[in-house]
Amino acid sequence: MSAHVVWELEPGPRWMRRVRLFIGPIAAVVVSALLWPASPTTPARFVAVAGPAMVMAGSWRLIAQIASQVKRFDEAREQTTELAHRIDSRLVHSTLKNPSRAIIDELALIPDPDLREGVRRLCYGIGGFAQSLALGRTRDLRSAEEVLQALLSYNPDWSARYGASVTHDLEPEDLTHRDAGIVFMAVSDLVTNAALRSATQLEIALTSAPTADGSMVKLRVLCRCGARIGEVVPTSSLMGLARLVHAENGTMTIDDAGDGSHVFQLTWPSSSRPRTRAAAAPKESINA
Amino acid sequence: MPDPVNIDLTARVAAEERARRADLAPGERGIDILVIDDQPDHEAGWFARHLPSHRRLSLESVTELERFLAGKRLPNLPQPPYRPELAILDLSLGAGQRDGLQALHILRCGPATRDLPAILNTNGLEDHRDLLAVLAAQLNGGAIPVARKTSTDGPSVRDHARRIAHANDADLSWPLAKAVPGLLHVQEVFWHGGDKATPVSLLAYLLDLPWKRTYWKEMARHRNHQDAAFEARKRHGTLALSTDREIPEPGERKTAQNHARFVANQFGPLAVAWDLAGGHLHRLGGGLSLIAAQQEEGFPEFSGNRSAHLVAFATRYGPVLADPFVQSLPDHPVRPRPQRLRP
Repeated sequence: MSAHVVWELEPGPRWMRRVRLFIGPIAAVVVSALLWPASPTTPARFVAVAGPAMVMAGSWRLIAQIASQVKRFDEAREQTTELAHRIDSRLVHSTLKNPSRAIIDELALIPDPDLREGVRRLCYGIGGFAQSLALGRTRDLRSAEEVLQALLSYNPDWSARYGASVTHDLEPEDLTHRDAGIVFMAVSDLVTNAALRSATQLEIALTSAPTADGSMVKLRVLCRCGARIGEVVPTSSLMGLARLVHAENGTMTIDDAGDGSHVFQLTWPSSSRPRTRAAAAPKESINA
Repeated sequence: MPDPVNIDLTARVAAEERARRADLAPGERGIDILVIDDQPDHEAGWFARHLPSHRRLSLESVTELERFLAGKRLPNLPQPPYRPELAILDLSLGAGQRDGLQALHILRCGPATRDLPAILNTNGLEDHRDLLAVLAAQLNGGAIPVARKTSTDGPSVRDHARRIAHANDADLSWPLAKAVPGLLHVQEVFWHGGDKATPVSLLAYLLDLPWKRTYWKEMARHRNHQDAAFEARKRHGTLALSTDREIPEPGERKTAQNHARFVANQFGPLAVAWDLAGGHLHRLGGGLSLIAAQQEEGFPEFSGNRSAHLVAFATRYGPVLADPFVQSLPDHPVRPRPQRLRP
């Protein structure tokens, strides 16, 4: 019985789980084979057959009961974990998210641009943290969709007003910390700038192409705001992003089509080969 | 419709970088700095702000460090050749990842990097992190500078990089135990008490016997001093007592009845000393703190309750001391070569 419990809790190889179903029948056949020659009368033969059969049925019943109990424990554990996540999320929402929402509304009062951007990123980080807790994630924001959702949790009207969407994305689990950091900073910066310029269309595509020693990750942000890209001054956030990817041996270009739309394209090498995400994640909100 | 325009910002950044390097003061030069950090350095980042004229060899994890030291190409690094003269190691490299201490251990074990000056980079030394810093000091040959990612520590690191470059230009080894002005100087702490004739390192004292390692593991697992002390005694017999005698003395037998008190007595006033130190050994400078605590008569409140202080100590530091990497350190001490002039 202890073996069955152990196998259920720590399943081990699949073949072992299959083999254990036959332990009972094999034991029953062995016992029958031993008892049958020594059972000349009908009652004795009945015992020789029924006894092992009961052993066999009992072992199967035992396996089923243990599996059922373990399943119930798992369900209870999942419910408890989910409840804990919900409580933590509400706690973060009330203690961090609401104050950060108030700060982000008054960002213009911070005169120093570096500090202002730092505070903005901190607020978005808090939004992402609250979102991660609500969804039960145990990691930081990774993909373009996750970062965009964190931004939209502060500005829910952006999605409708500016048509912000992610057309291509990569599996968050496949991205490295470095990739995730670049995605977070680039998406939060470009989307915020686009929204401040009242863009009417905003599309984000995060893709990758395999290379010999990893992959080349490409982040493409299409912004249609009706204006042309002016002179990019050294103190601008765009130059900041260019320095960010340059430090990782990457590149950044801006294509201004001349029709009021422009495409920001950042590429950088990654040591991993992230898979393409099959479909965009549903837009889950935690603004309750 | 206006003509399309393509703006290549990368070329501008490269030109900026060239200008920065050319703008160095006479006699200065930019060096390669090995940075092990799980986060990229953004525009307002610490490295870009304080070390702009140096080349950043950015590694994300200990695994990448191993690949780098093995000579494998990392796609995010600039063009070779690489000649790192300083390493800046982030203490925390992400949940579940090997941390900056293990990166330092790898550097100190490598023949090409064992004398490479290193700085531990962190946002603060809270909770058990101070003990980790002590471990880092041991790995680094007795002391290591710790730089916080702040505007106050940035200029000190910049000056440190400049001095290292000057020393290398003069073909002098940089003494790893040398304090860096303006930065926290974390020193290895020595234990002068107990039955030790000569001072031993705190880490060695905490982990030198198998029963101690068991005790930390059990404390990390159950956080119960009674159970941990019982397990340590059960698995390792009578611990340090009666190792050379078959039958314990009556006094020892009486002492052995109380496992918890026995274990606390074995550790001596260690926890008391730690409490007096406020858990911040890097502020105390060497082993004096432990001697003072052991001989100090002015703290009677600490004298009668060793178990309580050991529990507090073990609850706080048990998870660190139970870590397999930390437990293996006393068995494989890393000591850099004695400092000497290069041939």
